[in-house]
Amino acid sequence: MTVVTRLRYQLADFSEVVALISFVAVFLFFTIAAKNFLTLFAISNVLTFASITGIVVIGVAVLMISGEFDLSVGSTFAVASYVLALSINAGVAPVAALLLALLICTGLGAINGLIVTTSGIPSFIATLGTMLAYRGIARAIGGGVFASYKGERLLLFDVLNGPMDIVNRLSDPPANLRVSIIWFLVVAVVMSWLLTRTRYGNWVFATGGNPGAALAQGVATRRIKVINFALTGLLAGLASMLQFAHRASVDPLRGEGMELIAVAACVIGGVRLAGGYGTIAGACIGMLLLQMLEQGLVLMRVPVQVFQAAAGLILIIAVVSNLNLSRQE
Amino acid sequence: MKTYHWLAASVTILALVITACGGPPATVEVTREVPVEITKEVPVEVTREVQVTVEVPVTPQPEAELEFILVQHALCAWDSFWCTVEQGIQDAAQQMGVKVTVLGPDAFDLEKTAALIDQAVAGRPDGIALTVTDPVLFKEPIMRAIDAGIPVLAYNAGAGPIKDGIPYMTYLGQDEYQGGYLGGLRLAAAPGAKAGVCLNHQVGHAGLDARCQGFLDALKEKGQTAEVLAITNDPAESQTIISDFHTANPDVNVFLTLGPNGANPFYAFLEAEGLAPGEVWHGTFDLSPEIVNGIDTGVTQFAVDQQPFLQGYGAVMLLTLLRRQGIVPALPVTPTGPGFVDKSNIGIVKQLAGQYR
Amino acid sequence: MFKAASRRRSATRQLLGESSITGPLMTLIVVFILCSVFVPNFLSLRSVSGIVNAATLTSVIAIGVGLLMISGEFDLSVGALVAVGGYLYAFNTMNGGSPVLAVLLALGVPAALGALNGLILIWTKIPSFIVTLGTRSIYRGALWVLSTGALVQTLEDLTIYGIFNGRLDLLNSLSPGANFRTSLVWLVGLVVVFNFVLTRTRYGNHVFAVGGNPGAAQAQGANVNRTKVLTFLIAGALAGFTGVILFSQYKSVRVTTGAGMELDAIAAAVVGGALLSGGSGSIWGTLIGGLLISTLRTGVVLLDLPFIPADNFEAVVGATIVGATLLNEWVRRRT
Repeated sequence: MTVVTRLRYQLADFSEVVALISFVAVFLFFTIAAKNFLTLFAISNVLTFASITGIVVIGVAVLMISGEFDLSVGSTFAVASYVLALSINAGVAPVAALLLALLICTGLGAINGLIVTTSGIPSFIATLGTMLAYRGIARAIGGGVFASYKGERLLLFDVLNGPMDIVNRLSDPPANLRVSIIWFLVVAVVMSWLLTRTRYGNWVFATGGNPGAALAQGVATRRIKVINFALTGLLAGLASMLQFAHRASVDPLRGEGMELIAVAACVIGGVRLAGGYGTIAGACIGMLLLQMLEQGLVLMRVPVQVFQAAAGLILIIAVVSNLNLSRQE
Repeated sequence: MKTYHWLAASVTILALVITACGGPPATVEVTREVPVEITKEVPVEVTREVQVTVEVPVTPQPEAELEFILVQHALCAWDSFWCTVEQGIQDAAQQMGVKVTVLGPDAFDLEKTAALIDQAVAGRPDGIALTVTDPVLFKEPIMRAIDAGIPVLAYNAGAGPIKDGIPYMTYLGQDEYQGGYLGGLRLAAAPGAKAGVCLNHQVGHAGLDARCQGFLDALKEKGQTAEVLAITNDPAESQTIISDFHTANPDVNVFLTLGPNGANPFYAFLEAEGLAPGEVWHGTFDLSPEIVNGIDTGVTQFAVDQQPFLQGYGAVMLLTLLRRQGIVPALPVTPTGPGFVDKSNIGIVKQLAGQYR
Repeated sequence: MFKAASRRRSATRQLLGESSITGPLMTLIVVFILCSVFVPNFLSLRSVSGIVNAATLTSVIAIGVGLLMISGEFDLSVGALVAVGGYLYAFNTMNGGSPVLAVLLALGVPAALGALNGLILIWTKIPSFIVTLGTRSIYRGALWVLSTGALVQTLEDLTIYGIFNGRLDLLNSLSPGANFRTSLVWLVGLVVVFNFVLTRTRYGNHVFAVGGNPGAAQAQGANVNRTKVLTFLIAGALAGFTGVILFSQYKSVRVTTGAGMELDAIAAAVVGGALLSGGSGSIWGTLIGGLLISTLRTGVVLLDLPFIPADNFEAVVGATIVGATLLNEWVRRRT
């Protein structure tokens, strides 16, 4: 075996390393080509903005590994913020409002799971439908208009997503690091541990990789899927709470398009579309890469027309290099 | 197996019922809550002194190579109103010898716009001009820019540094509420006007919401009923929404659209239904070739013009003058409108609509 | 005479036995009847023409998307191709350009881009969902750059616009307020043609085979790669044609035109009985799916339920997708 082939076999086990290589390449590119990229402010922008969608991406990644899709995350995201805003404005205690929103989102996710597992409709279609239905719920409870919270700054919001001023003041202008980055890290570490070190994680991989064999071995594939759908809903809700804690306003179109960004991030990170393969770390790297792309292009004063094309190119290049670098042949 | 099918089916129905039960009645209301009211005092946080004019933040450098970043909540790519603004921006940039980058989201997304402002600040440009579409949401990123010593000015959307509570230089645009109010009065005075609807293609944009609010208030004053109908930025979808609304509410014959993205599907709807001027009364904001044609043929009574070219041009110009000569805008609001374009002065505008007007 | 009758009967039974249409068709008929009875103003040519118009654009794209789904692939870039077709058509018909060239470009370039999707799929072996997720952004981004973000609009009233999406006064004269458009004729024509292609040509056979079981199809001599690329090409051409119809009616096109249409098209195809896994579906089913979604939407809005405002029809579409797919599954298992 040549060195390259052996490397390929090893990389097959560590898809996140492949994603990391792409990430480093893009990072180096921007460090050279974009002025002010290597400043604390710019990097903090990337981390803070990526952390919100990143939490959703983690949920989507776990679901994808177990072999299913969820296109309704964006709509669930919107519902969560509306529930929080309207409850707090109606006088509900903030913590109670938060829990209510999370509960509802978990429920919406569970509904997705039930529809998929009991009716045999492919998750792509089922969640295409619930994406629209849940968006309708968000519109309905919000009355189709914005909802915002204009009151006193809440302690809860600072806990969820306050600015990390101690670190921020180290830079001029003050950087944009927020607590959501810590939440992102925590969720990533926890989910990663669950996925790789527990029986539940085993079952997730088994369900996605070979559902028939998994079932034969006694894995409760249905229950795993419902749990994962509920988890995705919960994480979408959590991300929504974090965003609302930062910018306390929500509109009927909030979260549109998030589902496809999440899929793109997962795929760039090496999560396989067919299921059974992937890592949380990879998905997170994918998300950071996409966010880094945007900040880098702004710094390079690239006209906004090019952003979309660049994102699409990165997606295809990253996926191709993933497949090539870690091909098992 | 069969029970599971019923379970799934009932879950679906339940979801539909939940969706359905959550919404407000679609019957005619006189007023509708909007998140920002222009006529009332906006509570200003007095943690920082809000200046009416800025101390000149930089030493004037007449020969400086300048580059600015402009952040908008919409782009020419999906809202033709902005093509005129961007034309103004590019013309000014060329004539003044400065570099400009225009940023904006792919769809109406204020969260994304706020993020773009933050990302623009990271680029340390010589000046930032932006649309203060939601002063609450944008306050933090704008303050970051100001704290970093970057001059900031608002164009097209905003209410001025005092009313918005954010110490940017000036707001270059029109008073949206007034535009809606005056337009509403004009339409309410049309013969046979019974009930009105404001077609809002970007609900949540504080400025557009204010226009509708002005319109609703004006009609209410004249004893007519009015409501807001939310349409989208997609012409085919909007046309269907308007058409269905008309079928369900045939007595509504006064329509206000808030820009080309509202007027175009409205014209398509008129043509499809075969409605003639006089059966319905239409007023709109902003200009475009179709709207100019509408005014010419009498389909549209007026267009409220905020002179978007001046907004884009002026924004670049003011930033350049500040940086090069230390010239500051005098007042918190530098109006570019509202002006009314109707049959009496359409001739001036005809050639230029879509590009300069 | 006896023979003719029995042949006729078995043809009908054969059509019904093609179970993928039965479910959607029954649903459409039932929904239509329910709406006619319970919804005010529904049973008028005006409402029906409105329903048909709203469904036409989506249905044309859905023919291509449905065809692709039967062959087991997705194309998320069709929305961007609509915009590409619209721009090419607009540029070449405005200011006295040649209409023939306009149509050729508007069909040809998106077809080529569609074929490119297929080629990328074959070269890289990445699932089509991901490939087209990427090309969607690339095509739209390229369009954005090439058009410098400007939108194109015209006030001209050319004959060619009337051909593709003018008022169809032949039908309109039947009732005041009816708004049938010539795009309906084009839609029906395309459905007939592609149904024939799918069910009566060897290529159509290959499409089914490739979708159902690529390995077996290859063994039987179908060129899997060629079939897939051809199908992508057709989907691209149909998307371009949708751009033509769109511009002919609205006389304006912008960079973001067509955004989101790909999901609507998938919804129509699935409601019409196409299986996401491939190998099953029909063109008529796709048309029925589009009509069903549009009918339900209009029906619900006209019913003017106090809790479903006119701008919240998305929820209805969503529920329709889930409900209709459940129903199709149930019917499929019964037959």
